[in-house]
Amino acid sequence: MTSFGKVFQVMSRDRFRTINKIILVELAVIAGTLLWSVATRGIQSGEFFGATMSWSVPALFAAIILMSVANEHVYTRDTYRLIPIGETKLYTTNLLSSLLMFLYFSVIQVVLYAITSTIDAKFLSSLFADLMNPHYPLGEAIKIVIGLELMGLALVILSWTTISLVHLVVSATNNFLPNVSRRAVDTVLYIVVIYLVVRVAAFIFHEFNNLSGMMSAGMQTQFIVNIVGILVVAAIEAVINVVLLKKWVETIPN
Amino acid sequence: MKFDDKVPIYYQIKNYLYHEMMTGQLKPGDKLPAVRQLAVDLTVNVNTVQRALGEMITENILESKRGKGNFVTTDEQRITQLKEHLVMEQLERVYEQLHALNLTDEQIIDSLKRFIAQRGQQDD
Amino acid sequence: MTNVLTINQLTYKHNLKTILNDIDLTLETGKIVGLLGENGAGKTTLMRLITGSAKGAGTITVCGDSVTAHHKGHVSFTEQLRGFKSNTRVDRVANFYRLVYPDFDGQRFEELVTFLQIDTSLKLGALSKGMKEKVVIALTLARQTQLYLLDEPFSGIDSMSRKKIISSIIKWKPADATMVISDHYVSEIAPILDEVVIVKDQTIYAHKASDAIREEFGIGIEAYYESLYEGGVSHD
Repeated sequence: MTSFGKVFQVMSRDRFRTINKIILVELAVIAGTLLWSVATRGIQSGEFFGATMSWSVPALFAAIILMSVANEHVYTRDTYRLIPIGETKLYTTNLLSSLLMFLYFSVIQVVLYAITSTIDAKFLSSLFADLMNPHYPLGEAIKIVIGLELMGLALVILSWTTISLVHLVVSATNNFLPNVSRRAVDTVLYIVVIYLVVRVAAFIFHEFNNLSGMMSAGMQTQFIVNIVGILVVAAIEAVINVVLLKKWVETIPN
Repeated sequence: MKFDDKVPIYYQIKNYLYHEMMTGQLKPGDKLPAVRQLAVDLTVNVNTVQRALGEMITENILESKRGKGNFVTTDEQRITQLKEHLVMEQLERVYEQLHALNLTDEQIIDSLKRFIAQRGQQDD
Repeated sequence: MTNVLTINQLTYKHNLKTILNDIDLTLETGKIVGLLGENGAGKTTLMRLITGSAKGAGTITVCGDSVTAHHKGHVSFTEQLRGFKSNTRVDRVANFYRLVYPDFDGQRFEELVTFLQIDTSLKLGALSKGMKEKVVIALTLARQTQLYLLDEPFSGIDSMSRKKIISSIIKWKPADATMVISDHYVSEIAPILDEVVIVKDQTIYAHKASDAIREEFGIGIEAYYESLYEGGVSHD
């Protein structure tokens, strides 16, 4: 049996490289934006931080999507499925690898924010002043940030397990349905997925709209319950995914 | 070496080794290449080589020395016997085919003599 | 002699079409077995079922273990490296193998690379078909396992590469390991086969020792195989 560490190592190598590429592109685009500003109208107050903030959003989505692609890649390739390791271990290693690489990406983003905000010292202090004054003390602000981070991470995990679930269900049903009903099942699944995506999006909007309300003591518990709820759903999906992998999901033939 | 797919491979390996011995490529007392090396040289399966060598050991053509490998027998008599056997085997085939053409024994001997004489002239 | 592989009542359906139906097959240790059959007969599927890459109904026992997930440690299969990007260098692929397969023997791999004249600094996407197959063979044989499954290692490659691959099979197959080689073109590999297994009509149509075929019918493996498809040789 292959150890968890070694499988983690081979899975993470390529993902690490992918994340680094995203970061490089992100930095290049930020630099380009700033240069453009210098050339046209000069750098405004807060622009370093602003450019980094706004470009880190598409970079974030790119990271989530590319890690998800890497995830799904593993389930149907013999290169990974033939490794002498159980399906549960394979699945969790895979998810963990993506998650840690995503965390690495997030840390880099935070570092970028820190650097650019130092450059924009004046701008940021006024921003914080806005944020903290008059409603919250600093401690509350940090709580909000951490809470949002955790919520974001939980949602990323949920989106990965959901994508896997759909992928694996489609892959599993494709093996034993004739071509005609296969298309029908695929259609039904797509509808279900679209419905789920809409529901989750609605939930996220709801959460964020409630941001101010959340900070009142009573809602904080609600917020944590929501995070736990998301993780529980993700865990259930993960268990189903492992069962699908064990029993039905085949690799792409030679 | 090219094999005839219709004839058992182990049998062809034996014939190949006999041939090597008759032509002096393999002399009495010579060590044979390792089984796997023979298999690689002949592009055949190790098990098939093993079977061929096994039969040759039972026939006392080869001698297996533990841990050292397989050697061609030093028993000259056994080698002479083998040569005789191989010659007879070839002649048997010719004889049967000529017989099938309704040649008598005398006619066969005569044809053989004529053939050898002609061949000798050709070769000169 | 012990058995490396025992298959009992194995059935496999794909999209409601039966590919393999109620198969029984036993392979002994230390053999080279030719798995023959037309394209689409189910040769690849049979190998994939053994590794667990395809899921069927029935029992497959490898080295006495019938849990499919456990087969992976005993079986080395010529997977086509689909999990790698085409810009991955061959030596990186080898590193991957070294890490994830505890039975991967780096020394053996180096020997195979030298013998097969592989340039490990090349990227996967830059390899010719013959060279890619050589890489796959080197990776597969560098593992020290009990059962090797070579899926059509000779399809579409030049005869020099083919000869090299055949030699490397003879050279590097561990004495106590069994090797299954699937092919639909027999004559090249006929001399190295101990046994042939012929897949036809969704089942194991015949399973015989090669030399037994030559002795029994006085014909070659290829002729025998073709005759089964033409219905020439009466078969019990």
